[in-house]
Amino acid sequence: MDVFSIVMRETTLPDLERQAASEAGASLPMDEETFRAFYDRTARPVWAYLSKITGDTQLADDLLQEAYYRFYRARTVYEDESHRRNSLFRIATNLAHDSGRRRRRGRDVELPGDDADPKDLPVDAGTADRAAARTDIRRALAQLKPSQREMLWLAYAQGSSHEEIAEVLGLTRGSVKALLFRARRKLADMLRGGPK
Amino acid sequence: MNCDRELEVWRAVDSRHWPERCDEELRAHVAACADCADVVEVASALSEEHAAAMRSAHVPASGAVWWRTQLRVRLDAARTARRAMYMIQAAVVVAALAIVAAIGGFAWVPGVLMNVKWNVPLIVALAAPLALAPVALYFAVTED
Repeated sequence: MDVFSIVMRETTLPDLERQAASEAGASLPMDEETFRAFYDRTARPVWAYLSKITGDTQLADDLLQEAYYRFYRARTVYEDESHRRNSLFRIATNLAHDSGRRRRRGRDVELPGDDADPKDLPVDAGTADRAAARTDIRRALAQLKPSQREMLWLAYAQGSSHEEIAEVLGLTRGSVKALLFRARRKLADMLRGGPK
Repeated sequence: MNCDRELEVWRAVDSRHWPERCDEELRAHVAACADCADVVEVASALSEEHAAAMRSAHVPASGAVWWRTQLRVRLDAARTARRAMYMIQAAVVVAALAIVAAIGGFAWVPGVLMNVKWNVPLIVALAAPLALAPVALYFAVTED
């Protein structure tokens, strides 16, 4: 009983509000500390994902801010880290789809592999071979369907499981397995210089 | 369609153990398995690309993103409140017009208006709720 009363005394008002909201099945917005810690853990992977699936680093900057705003408004504070992360990537994916649709409506262009023409990409620190390999992968990614790019990036760049990919892309686990297999075969063939 | 050892192969590539620090048996398997060969090809390229993207990612500071998010939340709340106010103001105008029409329509009825002693306090008492309703609503619906 003493222990219980001590715990009760140390319970703060926000704790009580959270508890009440949790019991009611509702949720409160993330507090600043939690939000910033989560952002620090996830912002770079999300930006990398957005820049690769949209092929536009500037757009990735804009969508990143929007994704975190929508994530904050979605109030996923009581879900675990994995669900929270998947929810953020799902929001980012939907934003990329929306911006892709707007771009296609505005001007009938194909999604580029990146901002610059792959041939003009600067060689930063790697060898010429590595730079050439990166040019190849960017060119190959640009030729894939957006959904294939998303799936391959999540699976092989970020190491997401089939379940996580399914949650992010709104597919079933079985579909992910089959689609991922086809996308991987296509990309591997392109990288080897085989059929497109 | 999918090989059982794909995850093992991906882990080897992702941890940069492939191919030098992998055992001979795994290398022999990849040489013979088309699926795992695809995994090596794709995972090697994407893993390099991921590392490059992470290096080049210049994301805004978390404090700035938090501040902008809060600003947008407030702006959205203000927009929602304004929308509600416009609707209430419109309703008030419609109600006022209805009252005027009703009074005009039934003005001939003896005893309705004749018995009312119209004076300033009475008019203020009737008009005040109509004027104050939008303000009260604003404070009721705004988040701050």
